[in-house]
Amino acid sequence: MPGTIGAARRAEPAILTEQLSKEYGGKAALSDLTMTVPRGQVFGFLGPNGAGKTTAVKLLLGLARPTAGEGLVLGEPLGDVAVRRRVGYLPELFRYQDWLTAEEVLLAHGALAARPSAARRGEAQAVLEVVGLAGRARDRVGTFSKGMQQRLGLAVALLGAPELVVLDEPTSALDPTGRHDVREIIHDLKSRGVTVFLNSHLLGEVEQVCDHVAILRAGRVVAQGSLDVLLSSTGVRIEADGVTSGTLQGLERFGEIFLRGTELQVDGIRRQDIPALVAELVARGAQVYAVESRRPSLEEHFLGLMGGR
Amino acid sequence: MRAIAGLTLREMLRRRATLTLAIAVLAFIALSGWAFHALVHSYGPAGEARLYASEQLVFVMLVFSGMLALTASFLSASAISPELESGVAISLLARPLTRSGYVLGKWLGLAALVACFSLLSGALELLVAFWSAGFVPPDPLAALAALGAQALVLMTLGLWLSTRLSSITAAILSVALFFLAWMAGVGGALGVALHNSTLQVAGAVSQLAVPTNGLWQAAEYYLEPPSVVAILHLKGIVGADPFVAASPEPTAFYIWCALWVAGVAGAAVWSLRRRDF
Ligand SMILES: Nc1ncnc2c1ncn2[C@@H]1O[C@H](COP(=O)(O)OP(=O)(O)O)[C@@H](O)[C@H]1O
Ligand SMILES: [Mg+2]
Repeated sequence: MPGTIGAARRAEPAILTEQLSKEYGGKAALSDLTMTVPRGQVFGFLGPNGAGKTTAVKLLLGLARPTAGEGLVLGEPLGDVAVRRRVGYLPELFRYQDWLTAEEVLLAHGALAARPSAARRGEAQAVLEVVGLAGRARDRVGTFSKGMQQRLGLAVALLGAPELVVLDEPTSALDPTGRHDVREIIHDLKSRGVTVFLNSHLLGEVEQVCDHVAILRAGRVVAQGSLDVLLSSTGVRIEADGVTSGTLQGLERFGEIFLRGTELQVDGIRRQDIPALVAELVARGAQVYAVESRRPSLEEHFLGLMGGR
Repeated sequence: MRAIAGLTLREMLRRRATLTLAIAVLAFIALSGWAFHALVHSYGPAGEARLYASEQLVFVMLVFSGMLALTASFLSASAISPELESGVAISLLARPLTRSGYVLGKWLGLAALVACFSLLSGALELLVAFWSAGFVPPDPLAALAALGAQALVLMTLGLWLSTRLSSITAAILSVALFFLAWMAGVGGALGVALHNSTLQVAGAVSQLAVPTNGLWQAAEYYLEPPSVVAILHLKGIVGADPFVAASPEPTAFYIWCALWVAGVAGAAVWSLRRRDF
């Protein structure tokens, strides 16, 4: 019953790892990565340079072998060869044979990905269109700028209708237009139900496109979850009269409290707790003039996590 | 694997190094033709000239086989490591392509090139020898096959080295091993002549370690006129002259060569399998 198998396939996560670790020469590049990336999600994998993002991706694609731990990609164990037919990958550092034309690179990748030979040329043209290189199909890769090579890399990653697309720093060489295009491409993949695993150190980029993120620091995940939950720990600024340190007794449970004259600031409070805090203040005789909640950007959150370095 | 073989072949054909080496080999063939021609004209009776030409042909073919070996080494030594360094390999190996498929694809592409080049240029050299000196070796096809096999052996060695070493290092090392094997062959022959068993054993062992010289001896045997071989047997100095082969190589040696190529290609696969990107 292929229908059942298909449904089971869609139900299982795109990526699942269990304590995945990698050492290079005794030095840990990635430690105990445990994560689940559901199908159809745009998953942001964040971290400063050297955090281990690229290492994690190489383990997922079987380009490096884990020192410990295990994982599944589209239901197959790490290192499985056949599953790569369903995975598109844009490496962080790569080159294509610079004596081939853009189209020839895509035809070669189509052959390697075992695409039907009659469909290869059409598919190559289609992905070149998507990344904005349709006019350069017959030009040699050696004549491409770094940004154009990255666009071509993106085209290669999109080739062959993959179920999972892994992008390692896809915009590192792109101009603002290029970055915008990448966001559009990711949105489009998401609307087609394709899972996207996005490695990046560019927080703004991740914040704009990702549903879930994992934040990596020195090889370890320090925060993981949906962007909403991760950023739900907010701060609130309250302008009120009649607040003394006595009034604030016992309110530390909401968060870290700072009082400056008539301005009260509570950091780390969950958004849903703000009404309760205000009610409590009013009950204790404070006159509240203004309540302003603010959601920190991913960047602030990230810097907070990296702060204790 | 077929895709990799095709890409490898195309890449090798458009390299400047390939063109340079091909031109060098062709120039050598032209030069040898001129030399043969001069030889025939400076010697009187046709029979004497022909015998002399056959000896010269063996020497010419020795140099020629060295050039083929050099070509095979240089081409294969740059087949893998530059792709590992530049990041071409990482995008290929993220496809449903096994590491062995990658290495064997490279091997096939190179083998096609090296075999065609050896056979065509070797045939041309023999034709030139025929046209200019009228000499026909006893078994030209077997000689060509042995020369081609020698080039394949060196090509496989270069490919293995190129999974770990830079192009230059791999090329220098495989050419050095080729010359060492040849010198070991000379040493072994000296051992026979001087009745020195240590030299003989060292020669025999290194012959097996890198079987290029054995294949050269095989080619040599098929190039020499039977009269030369008969004289050697009459004098009872079989195996003592490094520049004359008195007997064909045993079948076991060819089986060993095939196993050697398979083993070294396997080592190349293993070396790449162990690599992390
Ligand atoms: N092939 C390798 N050999 C040795 N060390 C490596 C290798 N690849 C990565 N590392 C080390 O592993 C750590 C994580 O690197 P990487 O995964 O590239 O980080 P990121 O992609 O997050 O910038 C770094 O300290 C890096 O030096
Ligand atoms: Mg990286």
